[in-house]
Amino acid sequence: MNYLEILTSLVSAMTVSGFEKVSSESLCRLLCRFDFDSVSCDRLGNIIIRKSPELQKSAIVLDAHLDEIGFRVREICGSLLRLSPVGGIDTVILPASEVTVHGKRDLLGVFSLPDGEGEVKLDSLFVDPGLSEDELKKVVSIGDGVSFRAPITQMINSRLVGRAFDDKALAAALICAVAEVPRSELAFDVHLIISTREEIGGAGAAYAALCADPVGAVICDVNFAASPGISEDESGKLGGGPMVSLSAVTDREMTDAILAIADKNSISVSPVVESTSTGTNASHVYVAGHGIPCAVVSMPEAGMHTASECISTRDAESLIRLIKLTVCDVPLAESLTKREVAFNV
Amino acid sequence: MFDFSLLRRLATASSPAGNENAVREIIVSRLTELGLPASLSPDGSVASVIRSSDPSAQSLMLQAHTDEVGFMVKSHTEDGYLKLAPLGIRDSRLLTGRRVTVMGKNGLLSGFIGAVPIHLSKNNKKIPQYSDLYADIGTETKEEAEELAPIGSFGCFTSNFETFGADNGYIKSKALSGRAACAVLLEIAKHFSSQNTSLPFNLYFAFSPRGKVTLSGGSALYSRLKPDALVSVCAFEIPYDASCFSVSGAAVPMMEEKYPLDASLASQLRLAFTEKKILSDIPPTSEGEECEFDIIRLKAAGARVAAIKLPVKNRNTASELMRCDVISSVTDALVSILPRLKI
Repeated sequence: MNYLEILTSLVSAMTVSGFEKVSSESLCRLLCRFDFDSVSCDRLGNIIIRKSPELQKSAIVLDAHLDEIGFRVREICGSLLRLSPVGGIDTVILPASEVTVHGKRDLLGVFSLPDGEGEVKLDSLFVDPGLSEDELKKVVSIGDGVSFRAPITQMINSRLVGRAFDDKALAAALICAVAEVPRSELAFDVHLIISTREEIGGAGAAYAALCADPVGAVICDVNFAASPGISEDESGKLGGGPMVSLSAVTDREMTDAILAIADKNSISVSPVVESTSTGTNASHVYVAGHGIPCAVVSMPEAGMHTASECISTRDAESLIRLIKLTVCDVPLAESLTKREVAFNV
Repeated sequence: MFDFSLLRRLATASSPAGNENAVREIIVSRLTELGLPASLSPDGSVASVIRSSDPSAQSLMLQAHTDEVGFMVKSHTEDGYLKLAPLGIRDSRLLTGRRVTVMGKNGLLSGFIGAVPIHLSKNNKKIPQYSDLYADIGTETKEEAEELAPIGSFGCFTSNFETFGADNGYIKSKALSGRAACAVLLEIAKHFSSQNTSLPFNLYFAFSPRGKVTLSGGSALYSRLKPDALVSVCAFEIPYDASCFSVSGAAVPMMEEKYPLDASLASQLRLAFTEKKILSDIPPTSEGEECEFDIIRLKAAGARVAAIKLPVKNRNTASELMRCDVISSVTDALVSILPRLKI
């Protein structure tokens, strides 16, 4: 099981929010070769991976999102394209940035330089795919998806830099964790959801979690890495291990249990206070169906929402260990199941 | 056939202004392969020559720049980030979030320019200043950063050299416009080094450093070799709202700012480019070029100067765009006109 191989496959897939279905079926086929009970794709494009223990146990949802920020083609202006954003795009990074335009075939396109100085407005940037107007109109249609284009590069100190690591770095870690964990040790019936539409609201995870009817969910996403301009108390150190959210929208008992598992097994983790919002799928999963207790476990990432998102593979290794231990933790499973059974009104 | 593999090697070499060694080595190696002399001048220029069989012949110099935009490491933060001083990058917006290569003490280091995530900067949408920017090369402490990338280390953009667009006839790369000019000169050198026909003049090739920071550029070799005329091959910027598809030729200006260029040379080049249907006008909104500074300096030194400007989009960024057919057509046109050029 190679983390980098899985991450590379996920990052190569076109998954701009709303377009996940384009890739989710081929990713399902790819994931079938691992030790899972089933890999399927639901009607929203969420990838659902099941791994069940030998005896029937309560379900737990593990979630990381498949979708990524990007664009849609808004207008074809002669030989150039004008785009609309999908998700939180920082226009400052766009001048001369490279994108892939997913038309009838994939095209390399490059954003123009901005007109004048000051704030960069997406309206004044054009993407040049190097085609005549006639050819461009044959290949590209209004509404087509556009994603950032950048290779994965290894840096020193176990760092990787690439595009769309938000949240594929976590999705790859969860896939590794669930594939590696022995069935005989599972304390839960594991539903791993590689969810859609997180960058535009979280509808994918909420729907898939509801279908799984779990006693709890661990939501995994990137978080801010400590770097210049970001305060220490809202960020984690790259290479310093996973981050665990302390928030009003996460379940404190579940969170404490995960922190205790990390402590007991000498896995370095950093608690981070995100009082009213974790900025993850937790906000939507927590209120899905009858309500699902959530914990949020994240990995620090530098350069979030740029084509140069940077993570540490040391953090990914720690996260894989932590998740494997969590889904095998009998006291946590008993506690979450007991809470569900206790509700008998 | 134009050698685009050589252009790929030139464009992907890391050679920011002030540290052009990597490109210089490729040029020297190529000139040597062609059986031509390759002399290094103290300022870092490379010169070569194809001599006429006429000992009293005049001389013409073709000139291009070897450098690219980049940065120098100015200082290190306590947590291992590199603070930067730009080299010819005109706008901090072109650095933010970009992949870079830092030429460290023990070799090249991959990194990127950090940015505060949009989630945290929503209410503060100001453009970052150079002083806000930093390179992240993965070092975790000040000591480690100082050891691997000491103050003064050079850096430049990292960007793949890729063909794209109609018939894969376009190139996207960093450092493209300057290196395309170098490749044009090397292609001309290849042609005339393998021909028995004698040129009516000595043909000098000048590959000059530090054009992006407007320092020595071409004027140093001009002073040394004193050619009778000089043609500078450089670039002009395709405006932001025009496609690179729309510009199918190079420009041969008659003026550079307020300075008239050599009318005879420019007219002959314009006629040759018109015949080949590759003469383009520089759009009025085009940005200034580094060869202006050279040309102004050369004019001051009394040189007869003309300029050929190749069209480039997103000049001096990580993703410059050029048309392959323009590069090869300009080379062909120069090969065709040079034997009959009156200097």
